Amino acid sequence: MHSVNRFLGIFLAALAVDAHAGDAMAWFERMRTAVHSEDYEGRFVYQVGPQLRSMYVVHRISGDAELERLVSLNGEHKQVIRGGGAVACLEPGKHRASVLEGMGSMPGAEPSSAEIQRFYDFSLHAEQQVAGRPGRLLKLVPRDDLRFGYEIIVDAQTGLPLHTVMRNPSGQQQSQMLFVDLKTGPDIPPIEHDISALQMTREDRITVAAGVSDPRTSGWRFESLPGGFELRSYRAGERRQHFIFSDGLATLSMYVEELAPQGGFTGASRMGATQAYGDVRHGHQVTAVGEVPDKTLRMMVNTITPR
Amino acid sequence: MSERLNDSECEKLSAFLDGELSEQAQAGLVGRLAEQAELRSQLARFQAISAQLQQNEPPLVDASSVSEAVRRRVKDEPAVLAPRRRRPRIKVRKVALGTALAATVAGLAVSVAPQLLDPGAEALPAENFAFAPRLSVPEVDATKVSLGGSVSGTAENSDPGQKQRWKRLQPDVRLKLDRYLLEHNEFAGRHNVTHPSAHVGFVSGKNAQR
Repeated sequence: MHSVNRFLGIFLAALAVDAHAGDAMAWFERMRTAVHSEDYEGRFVYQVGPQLRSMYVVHRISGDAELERLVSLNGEHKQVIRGGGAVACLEPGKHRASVLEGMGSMPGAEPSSAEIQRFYDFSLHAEQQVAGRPGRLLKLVPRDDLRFGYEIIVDAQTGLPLHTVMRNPSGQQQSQMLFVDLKTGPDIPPIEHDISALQMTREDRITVAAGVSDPRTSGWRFESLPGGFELRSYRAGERRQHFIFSDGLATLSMYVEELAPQGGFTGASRMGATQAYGDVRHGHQVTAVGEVPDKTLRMMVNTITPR
Repeated sequence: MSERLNDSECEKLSAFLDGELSEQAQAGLVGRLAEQAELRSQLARFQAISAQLQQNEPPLVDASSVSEAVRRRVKDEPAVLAPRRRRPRIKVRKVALGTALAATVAGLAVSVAPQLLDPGAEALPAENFAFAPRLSVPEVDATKVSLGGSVSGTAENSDPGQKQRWKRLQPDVRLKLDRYLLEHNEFAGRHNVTHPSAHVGFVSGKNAQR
């Protein structure tokens, strides 16, 4: 009788854990959808190390297109306006705009939550409030040291992330984002009007990126990718190829281009929480960029081999 | 229950938006923001003012497709792309502290940017936060090398200050990395689920210099 009770206890505890993880995955799925489908406008602060930035974002859905404007309210007042397959980056004093287009995804590329859970431990915690909005704390803890972890307060009403802390595999904070105020729903100002900001551009370097291509034609293959990372998309230009890998949460890009006459570069650097690692491989400049540990970028660069 | 902010806190907020707050003070600010609803409300007001001060002139086009509008303007109407006369930058601090600080600033915010304000925002008790933001500096890999401008590169210790830019790089390398980052954010951005925009890191970082 004692062993039966013990078995029942273990069984019920296992069910509770499954239900808990299931709730966490449900909240994750809500967030995954909300970031790309909700209309929202708000101000938030973004911290990396000792530096803090104040930012304004407005995001709207128009038909099938995501329109977005992101402005830095302090520092260098950069802004990005994107939508309809294009993105323009405006930098005060430089009058530079970049227009990028032509991206798509590999068939069946979007991993399920269950697949993502192979590499992250999902857990849902107590109700929280941020900017006057109730939410739930969702923790995504990596199961290895190849990716960062997240603590996210997810808005109960919309599923949007209200407060995100990104941690390295040792648990140290890499960055955090905190909404100061947030509006959602139909009263969000139309972004289309912000197109006028693009008139600030001059001496532009317009890059029209090449479209999606078949990676089998790239001339490159990747051996022993870091666990969980799979090729999600690929596009090829005249001189540069761009591969995108993701484990469903973390993403990294690999750029392969012909070596410039003056040579290439090798080593690591970072901008904010984004890391970069470059090396010269097989006569080409290979550079990996992403919000993943430096170790993962190095591993990725080392996987590339000519077909 | 909202506590009144003192002049010093207001001044720090406006100095922060003007880029005049030390990194150490910035690091402390985010912790207080998480804890003090009144501070967040005041920052939102100042941000509204800052946004208004930066706001562009009324739109000259009403494009339903940003992509189309960008292409049309860039390719077919180069004359329209002439830069606007840059306005002298008005500092939030100047606006905010020119009058009787908090109360006056709130009034100014209402008059300058009423559409950006959310007077319904409620105060948020500090105890509602499960975890206070930690202000630790990100991990520094002592073996990290900065990207050099040659094949061999030059090994340097990473900047422990973790400033938000590609550090100590030659301009052409910085520009290349900026472009890589922008493209990465845009094209990998559909996988982004944790931030309100995939471009947060790029917009918050300092520019590469030409």
